[in-house]
Amino acid sequence: MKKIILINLLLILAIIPVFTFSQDILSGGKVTGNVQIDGQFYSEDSKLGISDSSLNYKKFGMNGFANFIYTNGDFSAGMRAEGFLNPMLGFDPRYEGYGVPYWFAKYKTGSLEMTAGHFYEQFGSGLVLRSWEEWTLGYDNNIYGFNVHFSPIKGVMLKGLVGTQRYFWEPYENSNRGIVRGFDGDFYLNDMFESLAESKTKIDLGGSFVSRYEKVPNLTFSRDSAYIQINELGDTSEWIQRTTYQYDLPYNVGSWAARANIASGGFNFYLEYAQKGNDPNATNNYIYKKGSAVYSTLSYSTKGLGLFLATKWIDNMSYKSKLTESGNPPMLDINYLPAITKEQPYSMATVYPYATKQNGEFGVQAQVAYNIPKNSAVGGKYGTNLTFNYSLAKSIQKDPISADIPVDSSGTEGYKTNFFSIGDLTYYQDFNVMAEKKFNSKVKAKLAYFNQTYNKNVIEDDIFDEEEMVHANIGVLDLTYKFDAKNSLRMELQGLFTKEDKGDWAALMLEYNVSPSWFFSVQDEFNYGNPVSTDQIHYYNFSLGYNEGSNRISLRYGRQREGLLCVGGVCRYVPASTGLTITLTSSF
Amino acid sequence: MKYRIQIILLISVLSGFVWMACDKIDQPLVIVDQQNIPVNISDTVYFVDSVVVTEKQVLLEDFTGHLCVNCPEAAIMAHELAASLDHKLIIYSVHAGYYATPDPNPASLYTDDLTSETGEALYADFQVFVNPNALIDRVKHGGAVQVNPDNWQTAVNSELEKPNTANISLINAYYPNLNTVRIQVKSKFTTPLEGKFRLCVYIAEDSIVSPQKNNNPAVGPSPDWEDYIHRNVLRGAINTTYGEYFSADGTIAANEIYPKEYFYEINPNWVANHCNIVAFLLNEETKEIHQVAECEIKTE
Repeated sequence: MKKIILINLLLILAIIPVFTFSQDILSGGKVTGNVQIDGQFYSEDSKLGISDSSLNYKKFGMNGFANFIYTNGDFSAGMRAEGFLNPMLGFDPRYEGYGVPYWFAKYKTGSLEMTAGHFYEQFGSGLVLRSWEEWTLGYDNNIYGFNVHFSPIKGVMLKGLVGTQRYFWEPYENSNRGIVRGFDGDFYLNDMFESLAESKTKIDLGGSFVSRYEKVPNLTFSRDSAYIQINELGDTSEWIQRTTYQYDLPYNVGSWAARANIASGGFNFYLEYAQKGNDPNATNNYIYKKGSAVYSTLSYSTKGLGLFLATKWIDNMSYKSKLTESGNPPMLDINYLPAITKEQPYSMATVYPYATKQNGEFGVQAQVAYNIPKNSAVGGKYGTNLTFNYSLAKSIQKDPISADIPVDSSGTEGYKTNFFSIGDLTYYQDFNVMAEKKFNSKVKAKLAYFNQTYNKNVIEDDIFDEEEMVHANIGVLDLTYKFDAKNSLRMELQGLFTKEDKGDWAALMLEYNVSPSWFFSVQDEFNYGNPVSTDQIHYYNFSLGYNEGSNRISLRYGRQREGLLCVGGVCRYVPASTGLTITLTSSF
Repeated sequence: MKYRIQIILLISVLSGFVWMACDKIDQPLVIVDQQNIPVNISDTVYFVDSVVVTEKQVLLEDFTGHLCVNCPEAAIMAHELAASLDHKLIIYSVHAGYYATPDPNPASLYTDDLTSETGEALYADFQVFVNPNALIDRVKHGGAVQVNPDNWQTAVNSELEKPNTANISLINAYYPNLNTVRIQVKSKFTTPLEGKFRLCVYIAEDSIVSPQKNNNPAVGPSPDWEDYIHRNVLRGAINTTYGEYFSADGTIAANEIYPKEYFYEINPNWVANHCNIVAFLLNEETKEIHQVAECEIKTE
């Protein structure tokens, strides 16, 4: 690890003198950065079944990063140091260690921008390529290689990249994972053609090509078939014939996508279609079917009203740079399948989150935001904001390729499906409505209702049946009272009501803010309806925090409930824990 | 401007196709092994024999044929060498190529077919085009992997001097009612080794009496040795010619025990109590053999 850090730093230092000769790199430069350190001291908690041995005697977990970016005109270089000593509970133990998993040097000259090192990139909505990082998930699939952006004429942006993706701290060597190659073009027609320059309708077209090369392993699997043998004397014996097959795996897996974005007036329409070549992998149970996906959004906004509609249809679109990689946390994803649910700000509304299912999913989302005007009968003196949201995720129709081959059988085409077919199985559904109203200069309130349907088997265990469907009703009252310009008290009162899973919950949070520096909060989430009486647990938390400019330090002591933490449909399992958490953030 | 845009679009599309390399697979699965496993074998009578190898042993694959006039002398020499080495040298004969071809003339002495699919594959893959010739642990000796009889002893000694890197336990349980052998192989690498490793399990039949050409009257009847006893003739592979990985990806960990089990129904035309199971550990890239064990099949 130390060797890698040293090499990275030497590379950066080696690059800087080169530019020193070509331009005055050190004068006029600017360094920016930010730091976050989270430390957790764990304590034993018999209620949660946590003991020193269940913690592997790791009483302290620390996740931290520091970004440093140097910018000088068209040149920039940066790095991110990360440390997981030990990784906090819920983060993959393979993160343990300290190092520099991200560094880059970037230079722009004329219409060409060149990045060497690690980079994040996205083609379109990400259906065929998106590298991104989400610290709270422990998710990072940055690409290490070269990335070029080139704009040969106004309105055209071409991108090309080659590299390998991050896999914890494991360096790329001996073809231990695939190489990603990608090319993308964006064509802004209104900029390209003078005849369209004045048009109120703006049209962007784009296309992407991505390919993964991987030195494939020799993978085998066996199938058994029973038979009876009768010898010359009439004696019978039962036998099993075990046939071992070896996969003929593709070294190169290609994908492409085409997209269009049309904006006119307050409307914006986006459509992207993607297709992937045969890509047998651990996520799709090594089937050889091509993958495809559609993602489309339509939005409209005008004063006081916003509409948003989205749909997606995914068919066998897991695309990773190592075909044997699967599981949690999701690593080495080349693409990203956009989420079609609203990110929820209230804790009870995140007990049952949505997670994208890459092997097949239909989704639809509709959201309306309406502002009842000020000084109207309903809107009152300050107006009222109403938001409605509906999200639905279902299976796609999968039919067997023949009567004797079950759906998703390894080494076959897997299944047949029709474009945009919708299956019977519901994965997730969320209807929610939220009203936000300011009553006077001191009192502001938010009232929200959520109705969620959560297929626990599908989302948590990839078991595609309806055996564990959870139906939950959630109510939230969020009240803020401002004592004066500096002091305010916020209260969140939440209730989750369900007859399934862990039963009913109630939650109360009181937060006192002394602006701009201090906050104090007390919170309890009580699982009073848990059918197992010993699991009717209070998840209490006491927090305080202090802000000074761009620095912030906070302390929290209490219990963390177990569950999935999801961002954009990508999830991480968080185990239950008890302890003291200290968080330090800073930027400059 | 118009032409420039057209050229950019053309370059973009062409670049995309170049970068979007994709392999289309028409035949996703290849059968690499088939085993017939008896059900309820616990109710069946069986006989067990076993061997444990903890010191370096060497495998000599003697490529021969019944038309090869110099082969009997070489084979006898090899087996004498094995006896002198306390059988740390394991030998089977591989009948493959021109000299092993059965004569289609029914009046001929040489109609027996002692070839095997595995033997022919090894003959072709290792380019053994001259008989007698041998592979000794499939390691290059004197710059070539094929070793002629004059150098067998030197090559075998050179291999035996290498430190042992792996131990093998080989247990054969023979079920006479089913004419089937259950083979249990446990392998343990005693030192960490880079690369991917495979376990190969073969079956050989000893003491097959069949005519053999011979030009050396000092070792036996010449030119036709009609009651020649062919020693340990390779009959086939039990888990394919190049075996299977010990672990999912082929890498191994030192001191970890890798157990494998196979069921093999013996061809009724073979003599079961003359058959021997040979198990060896192979480096996939170098193709070199690290350890070998042989165990006979006890039939009563």
